[in-house]
Amino acid sequence: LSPSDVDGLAVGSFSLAPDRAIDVAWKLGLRLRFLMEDNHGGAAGITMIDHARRAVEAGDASVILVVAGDLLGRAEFSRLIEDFNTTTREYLTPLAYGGPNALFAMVTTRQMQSYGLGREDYGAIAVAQRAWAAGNPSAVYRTPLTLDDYLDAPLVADPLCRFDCAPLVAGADAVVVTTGNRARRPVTCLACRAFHNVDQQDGDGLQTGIAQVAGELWNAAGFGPDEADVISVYDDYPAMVLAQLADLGYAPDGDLARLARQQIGTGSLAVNTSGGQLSAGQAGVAGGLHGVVEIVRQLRGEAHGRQIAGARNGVATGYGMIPYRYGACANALVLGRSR
Amino acid sequence: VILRVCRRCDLVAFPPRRWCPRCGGASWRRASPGLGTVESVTHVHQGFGITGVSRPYLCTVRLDAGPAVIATADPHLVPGAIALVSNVGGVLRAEPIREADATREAARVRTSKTGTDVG
Repeated sequence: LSPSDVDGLAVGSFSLAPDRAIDVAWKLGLRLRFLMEDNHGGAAGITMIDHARRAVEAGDASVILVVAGDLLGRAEFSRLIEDFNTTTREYLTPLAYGGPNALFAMVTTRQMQSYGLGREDYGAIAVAQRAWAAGNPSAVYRTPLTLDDYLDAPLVADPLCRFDCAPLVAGADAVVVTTGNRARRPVTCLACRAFHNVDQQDGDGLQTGIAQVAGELWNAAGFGPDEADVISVYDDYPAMVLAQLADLGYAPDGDLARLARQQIGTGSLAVNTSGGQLSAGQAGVAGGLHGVVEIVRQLRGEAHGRQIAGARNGVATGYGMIPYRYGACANALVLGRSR
Repeated sequence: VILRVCRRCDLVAFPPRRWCPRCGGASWRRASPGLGTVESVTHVHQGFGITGVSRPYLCTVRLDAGPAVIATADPHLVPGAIALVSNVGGVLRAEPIREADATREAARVRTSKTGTDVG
């Protein structure tokens, strides 16, 4: 493919303003039949891919570039969190809350109480993802992390310490959505479902909208969670890794400690094999596309240094956008290697 | 910084919404936060705007009136404690409350509910 083949563009970014998707198109010289923008943070990537897939299937466009990226300095990020939405501006910023870490500290405490989890359980996730990151040259944290390093890291907002929080980076992720006959080593969208604002911010934040649609998602995919060879869950915090895996059906008995230690911790469940955002870094809206790109790489056999041998199917989730207490957007995408 | 009560179905909301999430009603009256149970607490050590001298304690309180709210917290509050939440200088503040005071406060709120609009 060359740029002149591109006839569709989907863009997600917190830091693009005052430019919009059309300005990106013009600067890249793209002439388009399909154009969209979605800035719903960690959910935007999967939403844009699903819209692009529908547009290609309907014949509206044939080659759609889906790209998400951000470049936020300290001052820009500070403005973003203070003015994230009107509710934040009026009801959180006056508390000097310091950003989303404090909110997810309280979500994590609730999860620890509800499921009998300790910091070591979250540590197992952070350590395992760092081990995967060693095979990803694009990860910002690649040196091995021990459980002691995790436990001894500086406190951010108790119980969260440094390695519970995704490091802020500048970066971007992109995929091309097109028809199977145009793609080399294509990966197919098998199923996609979303559920936003599932509980009106009145729950405990320990279940996302994915729980409501997981049954439909796996039915549409034609297989269950046990047959996904690689999994990318949106990992702004380890607690949300566990929450979304449980929503997808990976903890039918509700034993999140076992899920963390025996399955994620040992690598027997291939979760966030890029290192996830916890090790690769969180680049704003790109975070919602990061996990999808990793699944695509795995299914194309291009995840050098961390390749899951013979990976045929994978699932990615998107999550985020905090109206008040925790993320309200949630979606999931099942991908398969075309035969 | 005050609760909103749906005039049609009495659902209590915080922060304010345009439409009632339960019945779709668009007319609200006001109410004070009052008592609740502390769900979780965090002491924020690092963050944007956080310095050594201003490390806030924050908590989530499930109010007896219904909604879960985020407030600055007295450092002595722990999960499970009963707290009195009020508007202090334009922000929600959760303070510990003795059991006797909690009973009296709950009785006061019950009485005031028989009135019409609060605030």
